[in-house]
Amino acid sequence: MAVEEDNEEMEETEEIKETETTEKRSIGDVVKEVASTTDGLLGVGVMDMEGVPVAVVTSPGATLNAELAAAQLAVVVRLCSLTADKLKLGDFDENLITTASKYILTKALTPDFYLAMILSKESTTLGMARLVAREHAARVSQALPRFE
Amino acid sequence: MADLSRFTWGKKKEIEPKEKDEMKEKGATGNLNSLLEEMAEQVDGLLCIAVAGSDGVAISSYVPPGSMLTAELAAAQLATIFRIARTSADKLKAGELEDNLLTSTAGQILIRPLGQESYLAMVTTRDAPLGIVRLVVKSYASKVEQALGKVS
Repeated sequence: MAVEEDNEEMEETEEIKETETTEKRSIGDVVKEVASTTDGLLGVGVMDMEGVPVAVVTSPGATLNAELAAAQLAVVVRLCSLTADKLKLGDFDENLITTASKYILTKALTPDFYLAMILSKESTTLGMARLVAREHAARVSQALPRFE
Repeated sequence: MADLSRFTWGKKKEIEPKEKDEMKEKGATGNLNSLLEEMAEQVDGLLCIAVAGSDGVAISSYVPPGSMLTAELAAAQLATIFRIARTSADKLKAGELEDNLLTSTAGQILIRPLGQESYLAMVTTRDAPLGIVRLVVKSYASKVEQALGKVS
């Protein structure tokens, strides 16, 4: 009997460990999942405000330079925050650059990190791009490492 | 193809003085202002409309009564966004910039290029209908650009 109880306890602790690992997913895994479930995505990444990529996934056909995108878009996010602040329009939420062929979306996650997505205009719409970013931002924020 | 009708046998054909006077009297800037007023009538929650150069100097603007924005500050600040959006599109090889939409907790800013050196921007409250904002800016951009050509 005692052995059976021990076995049950062992199984329970294993189950708890499993659920903990599924809850505490790495930022890399979350970004990969975002990439695999978004239509028309050329690249997605979480970057820090210094312009350094934290986790980036680019689609196989895309010729995106993640380092360049992180550095350039960090400047965009900083300027947008400054503009929202100076014009007294509250806190910066998101910025969407529309070009002839792409949507370049940046969304503030925390004061230190932002989410960047580059999408093909052929495969998605502006409304969908904004919706997808909003949906994923919360999940990505949760997966961000926290240092206390 | 360039319009060469003003040049005949090496002689430069002058713009008719009548045409020049008309442009002065009508005031191309006045035309620009009335276009911005027309745009303003169609958008709820408007805070500012500005036409400015990429150097941040306002060419024409409309700020409705009750708005806390000043056109000069908005034009100067939005020029930095306009320039960085264009540079980003260029560096990321994304093609020509069509527009830039900045959203904050209390507002929305839509910036659309007018040629290479100037832009049209509309600042609204966050709850202003984005579809209308985009439609109005898109449909008036070419008219504003034409009027701008007469000013410069």
